[in-house]
This record gives sequence, C-alpha cells and structure tokens, in this order.
Amino acid sequence: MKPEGVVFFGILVALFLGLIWWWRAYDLVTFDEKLQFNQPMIEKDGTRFGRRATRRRASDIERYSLVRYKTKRSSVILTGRVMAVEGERISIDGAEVYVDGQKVRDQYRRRTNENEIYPELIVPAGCVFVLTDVRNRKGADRYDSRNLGPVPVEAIMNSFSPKEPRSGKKALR
Amino acid sequence: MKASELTAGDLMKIAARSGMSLLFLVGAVVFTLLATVVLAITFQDVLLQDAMQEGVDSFYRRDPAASRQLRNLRSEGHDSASVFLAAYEYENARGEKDKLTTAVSLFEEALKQQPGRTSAVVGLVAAKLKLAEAEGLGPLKEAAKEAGSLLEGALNPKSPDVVYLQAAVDILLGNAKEAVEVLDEDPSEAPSSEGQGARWWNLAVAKLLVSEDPLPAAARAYNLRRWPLPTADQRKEDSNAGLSERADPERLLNISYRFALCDPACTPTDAEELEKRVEFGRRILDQRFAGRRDGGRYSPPRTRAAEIYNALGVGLCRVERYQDAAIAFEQAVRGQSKDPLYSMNLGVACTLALPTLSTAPAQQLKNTKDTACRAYENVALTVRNDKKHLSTLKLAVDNLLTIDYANDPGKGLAVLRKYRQVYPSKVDWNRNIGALFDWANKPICIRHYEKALELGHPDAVGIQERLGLWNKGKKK
Repeated sequence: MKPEGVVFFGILVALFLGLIWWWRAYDLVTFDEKLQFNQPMIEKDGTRFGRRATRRRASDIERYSLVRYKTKRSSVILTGRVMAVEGERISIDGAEVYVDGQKVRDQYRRRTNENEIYPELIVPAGCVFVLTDVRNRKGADRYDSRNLGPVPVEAIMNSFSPKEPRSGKKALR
Repeated sequence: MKASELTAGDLMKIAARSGMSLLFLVGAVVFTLLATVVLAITFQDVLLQDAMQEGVDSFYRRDPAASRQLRNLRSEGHDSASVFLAAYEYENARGEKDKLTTAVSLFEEALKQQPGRTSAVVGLVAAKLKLAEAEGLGPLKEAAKEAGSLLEGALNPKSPDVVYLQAAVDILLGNAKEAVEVLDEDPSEAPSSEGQGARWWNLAVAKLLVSEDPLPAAARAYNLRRWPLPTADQRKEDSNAGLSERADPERLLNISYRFALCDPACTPTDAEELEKRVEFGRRILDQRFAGRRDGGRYSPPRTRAAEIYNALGVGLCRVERYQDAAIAFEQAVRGQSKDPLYSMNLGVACTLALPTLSTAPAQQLKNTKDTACRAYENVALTVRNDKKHLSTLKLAVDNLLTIDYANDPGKGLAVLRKYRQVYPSKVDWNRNIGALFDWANKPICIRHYEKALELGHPDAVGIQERLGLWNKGKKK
C-alpha cells in the first residue's frame, strides 16, 4: 500500500468513527409537546439533534441549556431551560430570576409575570432548576421546576447547548 | 521495492530523506492517537454501560419498567439496587404497611451489603418512622427513640439529609425549638431533593409548634412536595377524604396562611416583621398567570379559599392596609362559604379605609362606601332570622348607619324601619332613629329621644342635650 493510500484509508476510518460517535452521542428529537412554552427556540413538531444526556454529571449541564426530561411528577416528557445547577440558590421575584443573589441576564425569556414569586431555594445535589421561556402563559409553571421541583440529572434525556444557533442569541433576532 | 514491502525501518529512512513522507508519517501517528482517543470516547458508554445506570435513570424518570429493572439488578447482586428498589417501594407505599415493610427489609439488606451507607440509613429511619406512624402515636415515639441511634451509625453523620432527619426525630420527641435552630441554619453542602423537602416541611411544622412564622418554610415545602399538583377532581376527592397524604403539603400551607397572617400568637410581632410577613402572604396568594382561571400556584382550594383570604384580610388590617384588606375580604366573600363574618369584615375594612381616601377620586370614595353598605346589608339580611346572631345584626345595622348617617338620613331611616322587628335593642333603636330624625330636622325625633331615655339609654346626657336644643326651639 502506498503511504498516500494509508492516509486516505485513515481519513475514511476517522470519518466512520466520527459518525459512530455522533450517532451514539446525539438523538433526533421531535418536540411534540401539546403546549409550547419555549418558543421561538422550539416550534411545535420541530426536530433537532440533542445531545444524549445519559451518564452525564450535574456539572456537565450548562446554564441556559435546553433540556428534555421526565420526572416523577410529570407523566410526559417536557422541555425547559436550565437556570441554576446543583448548589446554587435560585429565587424569582417579579420578572427577575436571581441566582446566588445576582440578577440573571435571562435573554431567552419571552413573557414574564410581575406577580411571580418563588422563595429562595438551594438547588439540591444532582439536580438542575429549569424554567420555560414563556413563563407567564397559562399553565406554564406546571411544566417547569416551579411546580415540578428541581429536575434530577438522571431524569434528563437530551440537552441542547445554548451555543447552538437556534438556542443562542442570534435566533432571537 | 514495492510500498507493501516497506518495513517500519524503511519508512523511517524514507521519511528522513523526504519532507513529504515525514509529514505523512507524523500525520499517521497523530491520526492513530486521535483515533484511539475517539474510539475510547465513543465506546466509553459501551465499555462502561452497566444495566445499573439504566435502572437508576428509569427510577428517576419513573418509567413503568423501573421496578422490574431494579428487581433484576438486585437479583444479579448489584450493590445499589436494594437502596433504589427500597426507595421506589417507600415512595409508592402511600401508607400501605406491606410496601413499607418491604422497603424496611430492603434498606436493611442494603445496610448489610454496605454497613453505614448514608442513603440506606436515612431511608431505613424514614421508612421505620412511616411504618410506626401508621400504627399510632405510641409506636411512633418508640421508633423516634430508636432512630437516633440508627442515624449515629451513618458513614456521613454531617450530611444535611441525616441532620434534617435528626431534626424531624427531635420534633417527634418534643424538642421543636432545637429542631427550628438546626433546620433554620443553611447547609454547608447541597442536600438531596428529598432532604431539602423534608427540611422545609419539618421547619414549618416546628415553627407552628413554637408559634413562629411558618409561611416561608411551608411555601418551600409545598414547592418541593413529593406529589404532582392535584387536579380539580383530586382536590375534591382530597377534601372529601380528609386525610389523604397527597393533600398534606397543601394543608400545611393553608394552616400556615391562617396562623402567620391573623393569629396574634404568631411571632415576631413587631410592626416591621408583621408587615413583611403579611406582604409575603399577599404576594404568594395573589400570584396570577395570564389566562388562568384556577388561581395561582399557591392558591388555596375553593373549599378553603374564603377562610384563607379572610385571614389575609385580617393580616392586612393589622398593618393598617385597609384597601388591600377590603380586596382580600371581597375574595373571601366570593368563596363557597356564606359566613356573614366575611361580609362584616369587608364592611369594616371599607369603613376603616374611608378616612385614608380623603384625597382619592370621588368615584373611588363612593365605590368604597357602596361596597361597605352592601356588605353590611348582606350581613343583616343573612342573620335577620337567626336569633343566635342578634348581636351581629345589631353591629351590621349600626355600622350601616354610621356610613349613611352623615350622607343620607333617609337611607338610614329606611334601614332602621326595615330591621325594626328584629333589631335586638329597643333602647338603641329609639336613640338611633331619633338621631336620624334629628339630623333630618324632624321634630318627631323628640318622641324617640324620650322613649330612649325612658328605656334607660346609657348616653342620657347627650340625648338630654339634644332634647334641650329642641325644647328651646333652636332647632326646627
């Protein structure tokens, strides 16, 4: 085999391995929730590739990531945005979310509720606190941590990094 | 020489002679390294994939297969399977003794596998207490005494979960004050979700026991409750069933509302703290979402709404926020209960709000007066045929007169005539109607004043004074 042939073969193998890695790490997710609380980031029946979250630790989940999860208090799979991670103190006062006493610059939120109040809570070990983007819509609080409680990392199925175009600031413009 | 006949040494020699070949060689080495890393990452899941993780994920997601998976894992001899299976049984027990007994034996099994395992110790104590609770108060106290020694055996006795459970045991043994001190302290590390729920629940209970403000703790316990929010039908069921476990967080919250907002025994009682407490209660009760008809997240069930909004109104009156209090009482009046007390409170709050509205628009003043009058009328109409509530009727009619008296004596006279038969005090009735005729400049007032004097009205001097004016002919 010529040395050039070795390189060519190597590239093919690398592509193959990359494909396997991608196939194992990502899922094609269809957002079939009846109630959409994360528009415009997620549209009804829209599909996106989400990173599979199995075996990921709490520290791997970034703030502002969108996550798909199912907890003991919800009978269906839900999507929410991570606002605080393990050990952080989160509270909601009016339209503002505070994490460790600092106001969060929450660029993803859509509608807020001036009357909202959520007493300070330390996000429990192995959990994240998720909120929907459209927080004032009827029933929105029933589909995030305000009512469902902090979400255990093991209950997260897929995560979408905030750096992905449709999760990021550009998508909002 | 053919390329396939090249040995590694030949390749090195060629590489040393040709820059291009050297590049290929380095590339091949780098590629091999990268490929190894990618392979390791790619197949990490496959290599480390254990059924245990799948079982744990199913447990947290409450997949229907979770129980079966955990049982299989336990039979295969996985260390942690017993703890998770025990936790599963404990959570699904809902007071059933069989399941609780199974949970206890599974926790004990986990402790045999790993002596002192903190999660197993916490689970075992919690399950034993729950089991004892189902048997009665006596066994519960015994279990609480035993729990202390069990908790001491935990590998990490300073874990917040152990500390919070110890505080719960303290409450059971009657040391609520110590429990408040422990539970009020911020933890050094993040507790588990269940641990944190237990912290706020026990803190609210302990604060109720020592007459301190339990509302913030109860609101947090409600947020971290184990069950999903009950649906309207479940709520109806719960209020009928009375003591279902699912409704416990809501019940604790409702008790806390009433205690924190309107019970004078609740401490601290200084004005600033009281104001803060009442404002917190008002905000969480008034939480509304666009388009939602079934109230906010912390809204009480319909059957309890009236008494809780009444408590809020009383709290707001205590901090002299009469207009806000009137809004709260109005919500109480709209509730299912038709207790005249709520209407009376609405009327009183509106009456007390009137002096604060001196600079308000005339329409607002008029609306407040009308609301007060309607509320008093409502009370009077509700209790007019009930002889047990004659004093309430009198109070409502008298309050109604105090509002109408200065504006429209005619209205006041109509009210007194309407309730003549049921008004409990002839003396006061004569004095009041006399005063109204007096205000309307009608000499008939003399007759009623004299009748009041004859029946022995306590304000004889005042009545004599008015009569004196009429007799001198100064007033016609």
